[in-house]
Amino acid sequence: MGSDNPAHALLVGYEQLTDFGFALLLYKTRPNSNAWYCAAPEKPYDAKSYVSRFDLHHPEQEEYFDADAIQEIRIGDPYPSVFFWEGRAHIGSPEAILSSLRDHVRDVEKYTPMSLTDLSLYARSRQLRRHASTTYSYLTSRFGAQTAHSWFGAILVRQAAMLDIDKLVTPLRHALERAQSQALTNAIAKIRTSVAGRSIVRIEARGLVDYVDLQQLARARLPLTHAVCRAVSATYELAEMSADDVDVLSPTERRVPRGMSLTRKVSSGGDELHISVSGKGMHAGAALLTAASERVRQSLAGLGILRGSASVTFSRASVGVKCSIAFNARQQKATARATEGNAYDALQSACERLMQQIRRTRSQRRLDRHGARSLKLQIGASFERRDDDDDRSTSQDPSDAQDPSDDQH
Amino acid sequence: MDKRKTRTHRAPLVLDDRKVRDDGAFYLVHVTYVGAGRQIIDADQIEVRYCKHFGKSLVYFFLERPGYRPGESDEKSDQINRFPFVFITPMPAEQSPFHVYPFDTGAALNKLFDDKADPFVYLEDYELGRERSQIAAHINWAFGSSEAYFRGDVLADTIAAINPWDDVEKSFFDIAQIATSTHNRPDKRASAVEIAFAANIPITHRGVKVILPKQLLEWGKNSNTHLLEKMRDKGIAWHPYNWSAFSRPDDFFEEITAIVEQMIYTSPSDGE
Repeated sequence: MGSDNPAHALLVGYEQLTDFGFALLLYKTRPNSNAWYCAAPEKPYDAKSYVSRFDLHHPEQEEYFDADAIQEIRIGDPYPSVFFWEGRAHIGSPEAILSSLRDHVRDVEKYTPMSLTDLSLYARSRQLRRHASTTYSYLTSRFGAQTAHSWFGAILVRQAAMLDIDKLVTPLRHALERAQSQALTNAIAKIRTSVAGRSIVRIEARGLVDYVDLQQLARARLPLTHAVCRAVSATYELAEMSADDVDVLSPTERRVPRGMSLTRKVSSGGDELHISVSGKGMHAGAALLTAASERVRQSLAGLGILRGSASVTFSRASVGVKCSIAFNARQQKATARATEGNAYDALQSACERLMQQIRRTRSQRRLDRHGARSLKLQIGASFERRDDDDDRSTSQDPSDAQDPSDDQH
Repeated sequence: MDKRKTRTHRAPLVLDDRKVRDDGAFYLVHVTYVGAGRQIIDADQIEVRYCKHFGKSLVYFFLERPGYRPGESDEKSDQINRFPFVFITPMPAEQSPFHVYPFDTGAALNKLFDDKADPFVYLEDYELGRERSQIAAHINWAFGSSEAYFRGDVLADTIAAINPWDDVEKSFFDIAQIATSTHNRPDKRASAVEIAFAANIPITHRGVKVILPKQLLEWGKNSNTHLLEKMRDKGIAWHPYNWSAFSRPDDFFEEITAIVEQMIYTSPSDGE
């Protein structure tokens, strides 16, 4: 028997709901042990998340992978998914699965468009809008407009809105303790959507009122939600539900917010210089995280900057490690990148370049030091372990992140 | 909680027939998993299974509420938690229940309510009357309305009016607190009315509705008669929930609960 809370497990099999599309992956702590586990992601609404724990499970009809496909998965690893198509298992991140299905994508779209829509949603693919539109037609032709519309309004828009809102509030997480951050994740998982009228979907985000200003959220642009709504010529609105009535929050002006702010119920602490450090496509250990945070803080303090936000990201380069720093304050933005043989050297070089850049800008335009307010825009701390196959998809530059709403088909 | 060694008959737990709901249109909810759901549709009926606790073949329903088994690790509950498949059927007119209890007897006999239950009250003491009017009376007495019952919110006025010597009623409310919406980790089975039948319950052309994983709306390349085609032929309506391999059982059941509420209390569903 294995432990009840293993830190790592072997991915050995799966349990299917249907013989195509997504299936539940099954784990064991040792190849011959009796106990089965399934992995839980950190964010229960996002397949592109990290393994947060392994839960005991009793499969009814377990199937085994071939011995050479068995791999070890640890807590903190990218969450693996499996997608079956014509008897073949495609395993990995949503992007990796989408890419390995590319030769069959026309068939998949024809026979299982809904599962493909899920895949392109979690991969944040440019094809999302097209796949959502195909699924809507597929469901309409088989079951009628009522089923298609309720899938769209209650399921798809909800999935998209949870991912969009999660991304919007990610910069706030660094001001939250772990338990609070978990509670925020649970509040996002409780978001509901419903069809509010002809071609309007209402997003009910009551649980988020403790964390964000819902009026501000209502003005924010939700790119994935926007993309799926455009697929069926619908629109969306954000509503705050109370016991007896619904307040629809003004959706008149939608734009990318310059930063979400926490509502007063959660303290963000007295320190006005926010630094988040993350490893993208690689594991950033605690020592590196502390060193990076301190090094950037010292560099900025050396220039007299005490407010603002900085995001430090480490990723694997073709040779060595790349360190990217993005600094934001009200009147100043600066970014710097450096690639060196190891993470600490890359950090040192990137810090020097960042300082040079800030000095250069200052000589042209004097920074109003005390007025610079914190803008909490950058990516929060997230930890990603490297996996060879996944790395290509996860370690891309942020500039590669696709905005599916731009999709033209 | 234990059963009595010998069965004794006692008056139903509560009877307050001043406020009986008069429409009588109760819905019963049977939560199972996808594999069993397919078999039920093929067999045209929800079949009885041997129940070791009552020594009889029975089929179990909850009244207008989906029951879910958090934190238990037996094979069936794991399947139900990961691949839930839910039947909602109008209460059959031609069959009388075998028994009616104000909570899940399986959970009670597995001692899941023992922290709250009075140790000197036996399971049989909680049994309700089997008539519709008696079930409705229980809902009105303990919850005040069907909506409050659905949420699991018990009526504070009723609790305040209980005499100190009414140990069964007191113990029932102590157990029912586990299901209230303000409980830290509510277990809705603690106040879900359990209705068991000793005969199979037919599902064809009887206004039955099903809540199933959305993935079952797709055919794939499979050329067999699809589950939903069978359901359409049998006059069974359906509504999909968002199944995904990485979702937690809690998330499934919150969504399913919202769908049950919508199906029972508001609009017609899909597939009709």
